[in-house]
Amino acid sequence: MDELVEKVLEHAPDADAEEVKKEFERYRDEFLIPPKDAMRSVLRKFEVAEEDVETAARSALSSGARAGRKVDRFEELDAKDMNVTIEVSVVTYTPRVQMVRGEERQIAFGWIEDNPWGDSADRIRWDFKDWGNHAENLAPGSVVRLEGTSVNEWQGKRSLNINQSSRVVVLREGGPSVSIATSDPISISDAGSKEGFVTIVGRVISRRDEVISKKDGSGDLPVVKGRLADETGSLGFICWSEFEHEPGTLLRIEGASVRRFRDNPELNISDRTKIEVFHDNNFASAEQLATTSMLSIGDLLDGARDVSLIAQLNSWSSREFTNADGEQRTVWGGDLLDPSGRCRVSAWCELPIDAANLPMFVRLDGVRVRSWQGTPDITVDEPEQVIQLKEAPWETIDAEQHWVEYTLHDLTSSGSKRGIETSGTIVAVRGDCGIIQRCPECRRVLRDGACAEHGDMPGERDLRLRFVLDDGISCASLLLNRESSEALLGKSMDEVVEVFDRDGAETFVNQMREQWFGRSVVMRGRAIVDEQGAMLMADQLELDNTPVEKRSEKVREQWGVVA
Amino acid sequence: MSERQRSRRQPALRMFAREYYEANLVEQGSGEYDPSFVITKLGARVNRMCVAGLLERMERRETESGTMYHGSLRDPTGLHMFSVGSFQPELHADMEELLSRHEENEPLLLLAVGKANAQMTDDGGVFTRIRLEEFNIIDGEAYANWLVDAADATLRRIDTFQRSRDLQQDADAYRTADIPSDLADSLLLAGAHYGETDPDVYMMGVLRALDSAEGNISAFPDDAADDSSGLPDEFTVDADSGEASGGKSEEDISKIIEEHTLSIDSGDGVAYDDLIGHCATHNISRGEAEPVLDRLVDDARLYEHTFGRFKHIEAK
Repeated sequence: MDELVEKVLEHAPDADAEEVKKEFERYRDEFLIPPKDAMRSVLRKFEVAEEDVETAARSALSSGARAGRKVDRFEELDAKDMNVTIEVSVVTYTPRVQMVRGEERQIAFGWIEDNPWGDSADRIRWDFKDWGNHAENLAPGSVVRLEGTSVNEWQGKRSLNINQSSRVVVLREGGPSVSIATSDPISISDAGSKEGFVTIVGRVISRRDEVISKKDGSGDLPVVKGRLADETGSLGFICWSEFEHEPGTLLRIEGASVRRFRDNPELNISDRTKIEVFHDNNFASAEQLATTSMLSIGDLLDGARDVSLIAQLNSWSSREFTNADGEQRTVWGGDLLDPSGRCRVSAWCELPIDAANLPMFVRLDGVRVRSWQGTPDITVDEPEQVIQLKEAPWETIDAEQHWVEYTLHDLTSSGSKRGIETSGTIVAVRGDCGIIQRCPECRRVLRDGACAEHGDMPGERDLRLRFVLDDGISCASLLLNRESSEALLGKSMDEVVEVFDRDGAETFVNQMREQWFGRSVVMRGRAIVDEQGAMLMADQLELDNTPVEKRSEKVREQWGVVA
Repeated sequence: MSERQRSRRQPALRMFAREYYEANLVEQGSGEYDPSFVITKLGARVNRMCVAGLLERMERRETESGTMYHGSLRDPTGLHMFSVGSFQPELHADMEELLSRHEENEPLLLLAVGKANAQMTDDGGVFTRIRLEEFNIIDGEAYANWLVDAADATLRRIDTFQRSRDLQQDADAYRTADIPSDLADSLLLAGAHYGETDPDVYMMGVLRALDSAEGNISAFPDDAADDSSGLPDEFTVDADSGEASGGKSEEDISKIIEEHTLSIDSGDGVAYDDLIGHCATHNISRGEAEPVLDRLVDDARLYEHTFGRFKHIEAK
């Protein structure tokens, strides 16, 4: 016991040794708690800072604790490890105000994954607790090096404590950092751009009861999902506790957390969130909000739910397939357009759509957004979600000619999109333009006849062109697949193979460079944007033929420079 | 091989020669793999750039480490200096062709993309030039298009610069005033480093360029913007080899890095800091070592074994 008293005194130098000893004895005699088990309580009693209690207790109780370990993987860690250095990627970060011995403390918990630079399939996820207000450096999506952390084991489950004395070094920036809880309401569009706790005032636009099956198979969880709106926009919500408010009700919601499901922000309401009915006669009515909460195709983000939109349906067909359980299933699909862009729609139920009447206008309500091949598409689950409109909201859009213009800078700083047009200068012609060999298994490009995944493989020929498009502020990879390349070159792949075999790859690339490097071009196709940057897949690529006088005139006009 | 973690590709800034050669503020990246930048008086943060002009000088130079090429491109504001290193053999054939056509006095318009490269001169000044990555011989129309693009980009910088001067000089004030994020930080640094800047000299260049692009070559008097006065002569700078490394060529530096990587690697590669530190003991600055290291990785002599640790391709 004396040894433990000494340990306590190390961390609480002002405490009196006798007092400490008495405290241990009190636990032992009054509560039958052995001194070792009382260690944490005693430390707290003598006002050792909370973040140090765990470390102090551990170091006092275990002689086997190792200090100052640098590891690559969680599995290398021992339950007693302290002062651990490891590089991880931050998955979530949820701040919470917690009462710690009668004091409000800002702490946070979340998920981290090891092996942040490796294959994402080969990562282990752990919980962490942040005792040190490292919110700014622990933004979800970032990769950080944690120094001076300690392992915590609770009921056989290990997690990492990031202490006040720990150091967090950002190796790769993530998304927006998580905001600290506040009780001042912010607009719904602001809330959607944040991560973490917010307070909002919004009207319930839709709500429905759902049941979520727990992943561990331990049962079902009733939840309420829906959408809230104000004049600035709308936001999906998911409520994990009771939610008895009908559509149309105006609510003040304090301390709900915004989290991202895929790319889409969602308001999480838990039993710690304060919800009250709010009265404001000037607040937009449900009818007014019904129109403002409609989304455009250009605004869709992967993972969004309860989305309402009006669109033009241009094609409709079905496809049979056998699912993993061996069942025959049918999926229907088509192309949607609106003035802001285009996307695909798929439906898991039959809809009363007569292909002979296409194009037609539809209103979609409560549908989901999923990414397919990198760009967001619509999924319909119930027939009721689709209503055919009698009146056309706009003049029928010609799908062949429908490309929505964006600056390259706007494209690279927003979500993935189909049906876009952008322009810039080709500032690089990649050396691997032309004929390549692909792995027949996975479509990866073979290097020296070998696939990174499948080893030596008989390659399948393919044709592609790779450029970098740049507007002086942003840049993006620009890719042309076989079809687009053939159109651009005015040659079939077989003809290109001939040129390749006759002149060699280098000559081909040099010719491409002479023809395209430094040229102003317009591309049409889709844009896939992720943390690696932006990739443009061109359906069409052509020289920007705007006469130089026109360009000059435009520049003079924009900046007020008279000729 | 582990996934390579690199900064995203930097955009190629359109810039006239004068703005670039008047710049002498160099920002080294703070992180291990951050690219370095040259910051101009108008607050442009240049890593990669896209320039064009008439090939005015072209020279081959044999150095200890091999053949190098230097050249300069004249645009309406002055000369852009560029170089091709001995470690860029893929460009040498093209350079030879340029050289012979230039020696036959064939007028050549070039459009080039390259990396900003700043070097200290003997007297402590900073000399900026471009390490060529890719180029093309272009026609007058393509050159006119570049002039308009560069004018547009410069006007945007002048406009932002002027708006920023009326603000309190801090990031918050800039954000509130919607100073574009690609310029905000570097404008603050430029303000602190250069003191007073008169954007009118750059405006002259813009006007000349737009006039030229519109076919009005004579509309603007030729002496309105005196271009190359005070410009350090690239050719003498290099002949003196007044560089921090005491004239070590890229090849020397490569050799030092490769040998070091091979000799001290005990299995898990050599840390970036270690490599740069080792170079420093040979009087090679980080600014010099880094591009060579990049180059070695690009050429697959070295690879990033794990984050921040390099292995030599021939290491066991």
